[in-house]
Amino acid sequence: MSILTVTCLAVVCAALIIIVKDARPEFSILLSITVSAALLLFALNMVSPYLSQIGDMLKETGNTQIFQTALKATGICLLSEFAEGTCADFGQSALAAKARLMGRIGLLILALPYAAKVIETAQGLIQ
Amino acid sequence: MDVDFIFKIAAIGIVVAVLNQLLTRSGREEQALLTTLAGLIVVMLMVIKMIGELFSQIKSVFGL
Repeated sequence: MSILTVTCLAVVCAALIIIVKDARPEFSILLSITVSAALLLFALNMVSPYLSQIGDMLKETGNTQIFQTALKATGICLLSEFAEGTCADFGQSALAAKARLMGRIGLLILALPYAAKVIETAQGLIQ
Repeated sequence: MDVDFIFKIAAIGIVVAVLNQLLTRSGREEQALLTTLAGLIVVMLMVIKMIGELFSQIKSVFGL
């Protein structure tokens, strides 16, 4: 399943969605959700071995905690982007905005400890 | 990668559309509505299974 087949799959499914759209509109939305989920799954399967490899490399250097937080942030971005795209497909722009807001709040919460650490070091330098 | 999964959903959609037309033409509107609902529920269950699989994958890869 190379990148080529996935791009062709996306184009074919877009055409399929249009065919189903005029017959039964509700099925076309469900179909678009399934296709985006399948493509995201394929992307995850492709990238996960490299992520664990990077994690192992960082393990020797000791600062794996930052890498874990970066991974969590990427996961939150992926999830909120998926939810936002799906809601936008439904035409629910208000729900999409809420999904984006939730993603940002999640990221903010994730970044708070590091912000505190930066402020501490800054105070240490000043005194 | 479950490509046939996607085409199965598209096939169900088209079959339900045809059935709906068939039933409405022959005068049974309620059965047409029920057929459409049944098809919709089946496809919804498949989509939910797919999304559940996606979310568990994201949770495992990114350690959420």
